[in-house]
Amino acid sequence: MNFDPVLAWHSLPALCHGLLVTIGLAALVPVLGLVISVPMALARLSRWKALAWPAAAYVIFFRGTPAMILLFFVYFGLGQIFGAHDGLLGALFSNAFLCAVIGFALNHSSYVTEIVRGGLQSVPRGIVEAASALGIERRDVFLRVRLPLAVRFGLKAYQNEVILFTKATAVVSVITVIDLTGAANQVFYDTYDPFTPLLTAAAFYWVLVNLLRLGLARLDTWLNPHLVVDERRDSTDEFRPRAVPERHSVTAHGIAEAAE
Amino acid sequence: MPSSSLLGYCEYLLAGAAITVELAVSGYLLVLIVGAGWALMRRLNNPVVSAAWRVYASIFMGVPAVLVMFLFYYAGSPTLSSLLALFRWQVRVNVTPFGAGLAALTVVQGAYAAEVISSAIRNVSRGQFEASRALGIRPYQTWWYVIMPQVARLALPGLTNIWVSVLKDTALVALAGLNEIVMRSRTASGATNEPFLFFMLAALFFIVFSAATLRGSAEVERRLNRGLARPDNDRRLLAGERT
Amino acid sequence: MGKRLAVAVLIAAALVCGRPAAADKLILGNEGTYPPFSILDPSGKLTGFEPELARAMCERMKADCDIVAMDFKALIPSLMAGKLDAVVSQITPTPSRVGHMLFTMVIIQNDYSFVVPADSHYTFTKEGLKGMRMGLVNGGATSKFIMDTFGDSIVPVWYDNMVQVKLELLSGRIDATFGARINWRLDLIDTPEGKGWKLDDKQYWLGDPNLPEQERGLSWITRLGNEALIARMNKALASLIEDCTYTKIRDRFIKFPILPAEAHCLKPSG
Repeated sequence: MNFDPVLAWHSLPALCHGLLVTIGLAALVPVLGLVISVPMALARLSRWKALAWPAAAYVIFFRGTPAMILLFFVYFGLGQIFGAHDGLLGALFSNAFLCAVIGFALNHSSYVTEIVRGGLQSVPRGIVEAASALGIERRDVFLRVRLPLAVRFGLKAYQNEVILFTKATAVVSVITVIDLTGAANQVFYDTYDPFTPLLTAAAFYWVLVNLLRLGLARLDTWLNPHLVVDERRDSTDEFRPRAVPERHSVTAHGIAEAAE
Repeated sequence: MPSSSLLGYCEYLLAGAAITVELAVSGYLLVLIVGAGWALMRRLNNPVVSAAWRVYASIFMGVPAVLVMFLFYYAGSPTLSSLLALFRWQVRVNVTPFGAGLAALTVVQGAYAAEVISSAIRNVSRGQFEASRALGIRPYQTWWYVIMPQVARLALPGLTNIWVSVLKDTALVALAGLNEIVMRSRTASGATNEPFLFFMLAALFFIVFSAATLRGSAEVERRLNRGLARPDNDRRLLAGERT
Repeated sequence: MGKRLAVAVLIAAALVCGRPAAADKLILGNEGTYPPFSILDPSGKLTGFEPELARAMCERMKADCDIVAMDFKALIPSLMAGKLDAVVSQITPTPSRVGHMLFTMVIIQNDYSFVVPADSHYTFTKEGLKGMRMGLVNGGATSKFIMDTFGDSIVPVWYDNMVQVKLELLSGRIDATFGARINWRLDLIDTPEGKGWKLDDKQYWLGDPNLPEQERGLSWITRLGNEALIARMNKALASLIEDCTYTKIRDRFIKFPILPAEAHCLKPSG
């Protein structure tokens, strides 16, 4: 198996188009995810069963299902029902990219909901009680005390989730959206050389993931300057033991609690 | 749509579920082996091993598993054949979709497992090792009877998550042509024009299966935590839970 | 204990990943979803004209054949990677393919046309098709032709097989497609759900334009250098056509002749 630099060079435009799609997904979906997750996490923590149970069901369903099934569900299932209609819904579901955004957002937001929930739960009770004892309004206690602290607790987990999500976008070509992986595959089908385009695409992903990692690490130090740890001892640091649940270290109780 | 045909496709889906489970279970076992292997090697504090780990981790945690699988599937056969030819073993190696998926899952999730196990080992207190040595227990026995059970307890949440990831990542192997449950749900939904039914069935399979294994893992956690003084224990005992 | 575990793992890995090739066993690749030429029925059995013809061919060749189904885009790469000995799905001998693989004799004549809405009158030029969403199959000669000729004016939407294209055409997510006449005729146009669609009259041949019409057609393929296998396959195929077994198999799936060489088998009508 030989790497063909000439082919790699010629396929760069196609790969870059694909990369733009990947970046588009990686940018849009987390935003949508945050918009959905914060209210959903609050619903999960709510005392009213009418809010807590549907939210728990949302998390269990969309976190337990592989992203591919959700993509199929939105594109082939919902798309078939709404796609033929005129108007907003029709335009939405007949567009494969938007279907991908919706499908991924459902999956990603269920993970982020758990991260936000864990972050909110990690805020020491004492601080919240002190804040309300000082007469601060409930809304401000939430927005100015709990939420910022929750963000600090949950940030590492959230960063991991964003990076994992970016890599998970690679399957989107099953619903006709040509991302970086899809573009690499097309070069492969055209030229019968699998090694060169796939390896080039892998390099692109590697660069993208590491740029994301560095950028998020910067964000982390900016938000938590007091927590900057000597990282020399442990450079591949995705798994410091932490208080907050994340995709790879949610306790078994996480699901059991969700079922209650 | 005749219901017998729908039922036929449901059986078709079930057969796919069996393939999914087969891939997930064998994948997970290999993941544990690879993860434990890396974790133990990293404890040697050998610069070559550390460098190798950094390269391995950087590559396989920085590239999507799908791409790794495609590379193994299409580029794997000739690479393996030439590798084996080095040992003068003239065998035409045919990497199947199952094999490529298994290898990709192992390599990628193995890196995450190595992180979890490494971190768990690091969190076992020094005192355990020292006390073992003081008692004259041989290194192999120390590891097997003293340290690993504690590592298992600490690593359990992370390893459970990795199991769920492995289970869901089996869907990726459909892209190399493995006819497992996700691909079958698409075929069935296309043939019968019932997308919701079959995608829901496939989704339910994953949810139910991971819920069942999580319940199993909660049971394992309970047993591993026996005899441990935990702040929770009093509350649990009073609530009637068995330890 | 550790050594036994290691050996077990190695054996497991070898069993899963490696399989030495037997001398007289052939692995043939087929698309699986290209009705009526290949169909995967619910029980998972591969049937349709080409798998059945391939099984008959293997019987004549006295070879032990395994027919494997995979998406079209994977067929030629798998052949070149050595996973398949031959591809038994119809392949168009386009100029870009001819140097890279060996073709058998012509076994199917199946030209290509545009599949468009029944009431449309498109001119098939770059301007005439501007903005049109076309369903294309990954890896197909049709797709390469469309992208080379109209690539910058149409909006390509990529699928893995013809059945997916048909479903998307029916649901309105794509406007038109370009594919094999026999397939689209039998699977869509002549069926009740195909009422709103038609095959444009212009027929395209994507192979060598200098070939006379009688000699044009699609073949099966093997890797370059495998002349011995091609010779065996050709001999078996020729004998199947000669004694009309080809026509008998063809008649189970397609009710009209698809090859000039069949002529001597056709019963006069009336």
